[in-house]
Amino acid sequence: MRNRLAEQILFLKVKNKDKEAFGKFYDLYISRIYRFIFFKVNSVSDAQDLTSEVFLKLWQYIRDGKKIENLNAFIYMIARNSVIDFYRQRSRRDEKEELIEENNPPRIIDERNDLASQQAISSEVSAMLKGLENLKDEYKEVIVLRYLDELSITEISDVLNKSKGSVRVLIHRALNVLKQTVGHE
Amino acid sequence: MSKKLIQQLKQLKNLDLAGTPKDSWIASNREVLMNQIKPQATSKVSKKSFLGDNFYYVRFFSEFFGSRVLRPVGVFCMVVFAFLGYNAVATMATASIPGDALYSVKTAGENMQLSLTFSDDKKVELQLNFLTRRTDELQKIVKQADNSTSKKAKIAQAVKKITSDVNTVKASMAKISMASISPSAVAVDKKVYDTTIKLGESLTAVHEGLSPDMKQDVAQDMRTALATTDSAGTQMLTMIVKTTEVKGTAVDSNSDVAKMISERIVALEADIKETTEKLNSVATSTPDTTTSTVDALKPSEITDMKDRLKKAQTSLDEAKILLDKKQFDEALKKIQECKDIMNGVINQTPVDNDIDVGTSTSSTVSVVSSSTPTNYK
Repeated sequence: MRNRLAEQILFLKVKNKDKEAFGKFYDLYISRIYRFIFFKVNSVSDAQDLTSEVFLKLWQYIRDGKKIENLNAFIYMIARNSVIDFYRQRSRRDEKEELIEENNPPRIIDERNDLASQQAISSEVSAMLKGLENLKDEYKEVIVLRYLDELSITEISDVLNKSKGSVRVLIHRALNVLKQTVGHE
Repeated sequence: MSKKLIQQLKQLKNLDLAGTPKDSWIASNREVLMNQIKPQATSKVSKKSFLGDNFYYVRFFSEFFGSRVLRPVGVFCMVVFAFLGYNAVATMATASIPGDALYSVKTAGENMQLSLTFSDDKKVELQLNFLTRRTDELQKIVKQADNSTSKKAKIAQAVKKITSDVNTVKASMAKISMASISPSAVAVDKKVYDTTIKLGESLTAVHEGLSPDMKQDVAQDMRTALATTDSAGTQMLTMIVKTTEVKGTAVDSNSDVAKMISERIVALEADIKETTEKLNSVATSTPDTTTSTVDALKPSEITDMKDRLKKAQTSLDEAKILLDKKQFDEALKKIQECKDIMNGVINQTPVDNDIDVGTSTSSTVSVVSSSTPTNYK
């Protein structure tokens, strides 16, 4: 409760263009936003660039005095839109490159495999990561938001611009597909 | 199994593999970001008041209180007020009479009640209840002390409403009779018949109690209401007779029907007698003592009317014989024949200011004194 109150006060300070508070907000959210983006772009460098961009965009919104109801949901919305823009721009720029990529295995798996080789991870976790990787983008998105970033259903519905009922259904379906993929009964 | 899956998912966030950024990158990126926002941030922060951090606490609690407490409480209060307001209006409307501002609310409520009733029998019962309400309203208006034009208007409105409601009942009954002939339908028919008799008596009594001026002003509406009521009664009686003939029902039903027809014959006989007496008194009076418009009739016209009244009496006598033979349908036809003759007499009667609308227990309209004749078939 106290943490929640402190977080709400921090949000108010951020909305009031308090630089120190924004720094604390960055510390609190950097890992979550990075992870959210990483799961979508599957590249460390792209995730880093996009995450930096997201925080800067958020500050610009605050500086311009635009009304923000829920800061928590709002930063995820910016992240989501940034990823969409990223793919849009890349598809325009590298049409030829994409054709080549289609004939080759995805590079992100390689990065993961590198990391995997450095870490001793259980087969279950490994299967889980692969399962997540193979999920549909919208399923992957809700799983990350709900269980890794621990957003509430209301916040997820704000981020995805969907009703709470649709979000619940989406999570349920995503979990079912993941369960089948990782081999749980 | 889902729980285990969720636990495993939650554990992923601590793994580098699941996208945890490196600490070095977090620190360097923070520095870059802070440098980027530094020139933009300084000016506005000073706006933070002397309250320091307390400013944010006050602001948070005011926002929290506004959205989480005041808004729901406000909505709740609005719902409560709306409910209480509706109840207050509905209660006040129940006591309203024609001409009142809330009377339309009352009738709208009744219409809604009717539209939410799907059984035809129940619908008719409800309509009969509303008819009783109309009669009560009319009596309330009549009891009002004032003698103004607004009272006349209210009486006229109430009587018109009665006419309209009786017509609605008639339409509903016609629908029921077309749908089925059953003992329950006969019960409804009898209920409606009894209501028409009571309504006719009430209307007559109300009219009797009015001042002469008012009596004359509302006479036309009153006659229409009585004629409609009488017509509804006749319709019910015909339906009852048809039902008992078709089903060949018990003697009890037959005796009920016989009683109803007999009452009609008695009432019509009284009307014929009263009319004949009036015509006789006109015939024997001297021209300078005459006051009624009936007296303005020529002797030949009076003789003709008397002859027709005799024919009416003959029809009624035949109806009595048919009733004794339990030929109800034929008896009703003779009664209708008698009524038609009476209507003819009314049509011949000139306008009379001092009119008398109804008679004793009859559900029919008194004839001789009607200012504007009404056909009540």
